[in-house]
Amino acid sequence: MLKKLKIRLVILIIVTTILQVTLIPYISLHNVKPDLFYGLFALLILQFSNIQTILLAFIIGFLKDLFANNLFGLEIISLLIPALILPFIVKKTDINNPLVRFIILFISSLLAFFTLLTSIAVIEKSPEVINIYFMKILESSLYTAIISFVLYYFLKLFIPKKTEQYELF
Amino acid sequence: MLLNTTPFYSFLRNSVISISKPVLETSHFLFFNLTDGIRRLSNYAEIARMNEQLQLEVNRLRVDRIKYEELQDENIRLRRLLNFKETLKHDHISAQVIGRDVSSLSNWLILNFGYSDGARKDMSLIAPGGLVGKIISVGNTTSRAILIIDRQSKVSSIIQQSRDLGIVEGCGNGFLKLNYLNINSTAKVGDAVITSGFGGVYPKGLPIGTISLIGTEKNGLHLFAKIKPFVDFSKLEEVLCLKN
Repeated sequence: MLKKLKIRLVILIIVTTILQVTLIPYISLHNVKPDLFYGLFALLILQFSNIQTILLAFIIGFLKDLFANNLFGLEIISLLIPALILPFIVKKTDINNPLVRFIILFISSLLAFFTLLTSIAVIEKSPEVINIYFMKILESSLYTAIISFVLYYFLKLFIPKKTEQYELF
Repeated sequence: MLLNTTPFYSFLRNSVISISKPVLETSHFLFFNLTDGIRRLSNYAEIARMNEQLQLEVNRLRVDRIKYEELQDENIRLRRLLNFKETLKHDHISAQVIGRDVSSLSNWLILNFGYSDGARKDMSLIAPGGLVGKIISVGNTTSRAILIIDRQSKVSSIIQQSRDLGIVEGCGNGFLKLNYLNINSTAKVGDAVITSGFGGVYPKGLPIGTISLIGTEKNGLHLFAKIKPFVDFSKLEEVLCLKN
């Protein structure tokens, strides 16, 4: 069962990478495009536990770093922050409520984008980068949240949430 | 600069992109045709096609006009100097765009054109509209190129009409900014901006864009100009790599 889940995860990550590199440029609106990696990661936060999401943050971040043009490691950092914060919020909220789920997806993407932007600003020593890109990351986060909100229903079928089992007797 | 990552990571990135080249090429071909098909099927298909043709024609004529004016200016200057010697000629190789950057904060391309095809670092890329960018990293069968609209891109340029020099930098939002423009510049909105050739990377005379706004920097020492690029970077399918 666990092996099957791992294979499904690998397939999902590979498909996301291909779609992000080839399809996403065609669905960008006014130079604003969704980030499927952040979207996928936000969805996985809803499905997995703390430790698992941290591990996934490393894997997805590393893969994103391979296809990005920033200093190596920044993408991993940008995913680690939501991986550390969001599981606690998810635990205390009702993710079956569509509005709550959408807000969590949006916050997750925004947090990842903002961490990346802040890291770039610190490394490049140019705080104005945050002012220039802030509106763009808000728009991208919203777009990502909309796309991942739709994809949630597909992901639920592909990677079912691990339910807690109680002993009745 | 963030572009200067260690050789190991650069090698790793190039290797991964080279390995995934067949997959990227196939999926790019599929998605390009799919999106193109949907676009053509829509109600505005006819208008879109006509608009596309007209846009290409406008771009071609604009480039022709700029080239003509540039040649004319060059001719006059060289005649004055009585030292006419040089005519710009660049050999080029065609390359296909097979992938884009995964981050929303940067703008670069993956080309199906590597070291074995003749790709070299810092080769300039052009499209029918004008300058696109340059190659920043070369793998065996693929290469990565930075677009001039990326925030890390800098191009030494000149305003065609007023002959004022400046540095064109990417704004990250699809527009460009011409910095360090002389405070006494006579440049005006609508003027064309071309490469100056001073940076040593881009050849002289490649069209970049037109000035859409001029303002004074906060320090009051320089002017700046907002530039609308000639190339539509969202629709790049093929580029020409200029051999240095």
